[in-house]
Amino acid sequence: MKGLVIKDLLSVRTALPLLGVMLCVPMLIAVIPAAVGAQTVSAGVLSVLYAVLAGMFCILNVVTSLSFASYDEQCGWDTFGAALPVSRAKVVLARYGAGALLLLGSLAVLLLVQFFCLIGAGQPMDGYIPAAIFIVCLTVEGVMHPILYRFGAQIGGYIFAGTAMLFGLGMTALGRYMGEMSEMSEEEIDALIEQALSGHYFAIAAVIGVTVSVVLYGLSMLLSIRIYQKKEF
Amino acid sequence: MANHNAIEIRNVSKHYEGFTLHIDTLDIPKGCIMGLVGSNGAGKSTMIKAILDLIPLNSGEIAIHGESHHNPTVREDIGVVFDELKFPQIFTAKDVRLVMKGAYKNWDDALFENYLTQFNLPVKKKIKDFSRGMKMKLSLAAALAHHPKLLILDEATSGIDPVVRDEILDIFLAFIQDEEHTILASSHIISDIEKAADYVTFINNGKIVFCEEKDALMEEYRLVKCGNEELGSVDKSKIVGIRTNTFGAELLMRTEDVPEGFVSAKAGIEDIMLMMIKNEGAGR
Repeated sequence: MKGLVIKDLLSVRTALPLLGVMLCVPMLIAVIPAAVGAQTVSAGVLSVLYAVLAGMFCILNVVTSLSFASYDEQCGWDTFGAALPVSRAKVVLARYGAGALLLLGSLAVLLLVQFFCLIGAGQPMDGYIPAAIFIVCLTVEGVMHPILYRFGAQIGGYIFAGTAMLFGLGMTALGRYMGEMSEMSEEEIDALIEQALSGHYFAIAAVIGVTVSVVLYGLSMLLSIRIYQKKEF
Repeated sequence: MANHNAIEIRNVSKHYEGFTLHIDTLDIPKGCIMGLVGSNGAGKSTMIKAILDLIPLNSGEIAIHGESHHNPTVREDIGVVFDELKFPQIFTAKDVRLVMKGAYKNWDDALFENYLTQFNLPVKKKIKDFSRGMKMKLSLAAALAHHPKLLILDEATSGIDPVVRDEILDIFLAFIQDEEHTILASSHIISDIEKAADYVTFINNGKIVFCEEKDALMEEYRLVKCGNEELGSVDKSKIVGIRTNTFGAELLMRTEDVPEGFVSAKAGIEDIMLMMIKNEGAGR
């Protein structure tokens, strides 16, 4: 099984530098001015930049994980992998393990970057963005892996892109609707967010979210094993 | 099932739309090279996939070294070479080593290095820059470096130039020196099978037409050339296969059935195979 995890991680290694570069941008913006004695970027700007890049990083992380299947299809690995002395359940387990390792490794780097950016810019460290990234990545991967095992990388890719587009449109529409419906002023909304952040609501939501996404990932793995065990090569 | 065979197949059937693989009995003894021949779509790859448990069977049993082929641990002793190197193109031989080392308990780094040196394969060059022959050699090195007892090759020598094919055949012959080692090789290149195989299994339309010792097979059949007038005097029931031309015909017959006074020549596996396919239904 170890060999399969290594294979997945090696096959996407060309995408890893891009993730690294993406994470380095806010870090450099935060650290370099301070290092050369120049005026540092404002903490607010840095936070927004960090959040945007973290979002892009999240998308890239998911896409990288999902490319495991694409690489396999391109070179016909599936047939070879199934001929190795590993049960099919372990083949799937290795795929999920590689996805989880990639995510955890990325989050570790993200936390490091966050530390340099936010602490360096005088902002308090929090774990909400990494938690949100963990929840989103794990959930999307949990949903996508069984689809990829069932339909293959090409059709799976179309389903992923279509779902992401519909989700984006849905969120935009919901935002507009809520904006129109809300009678709260911007100050009131800011105060509400401030209150949520200062209380335990976000922390509780993060813990619930992480737990649910982990359970979903596990269930997804069981479903993928069922699909993969019936697969013909 | 007894354990003196590397592979034992019993009543195996696998249905696809428009094609059925059906094998009543097939034993592949340890210590031999079994050549699997047949035309495209005859069922060679399906049979290999069935052996490797890559496809679920509709019925039947397959044992490898006495154990069910469903048991993944039996594959510890199998080396597999497909018609293509099935690693990502960005991989190097070093990456292949890392992956295979993590997959096989008996992986032998030193042996793999030896094969890379013997085959003149670069360690850090990407697979995408390898020639087809180099890819096949890397496949073979990866398949042999975990000390398999059974080597399964699916069209491994196709598309490779004769020099490299000859080198690969030498490796097969060296591998088989240990009588516990067995090779099952499917190939379109009949000359390779003629050169290296001890046994030949001919598969056509999903069924085994024959499975015989190669030398006995080549003794068993003769090619008889005759004119149109002579053809009329030959007992039709004794003709296994026939190839006609404007001057007469070429007949495939069992050696004992060759009529007296007719000129006959040794039949190659390709002749036997082609004439049997053409005259399917004539029986043997």
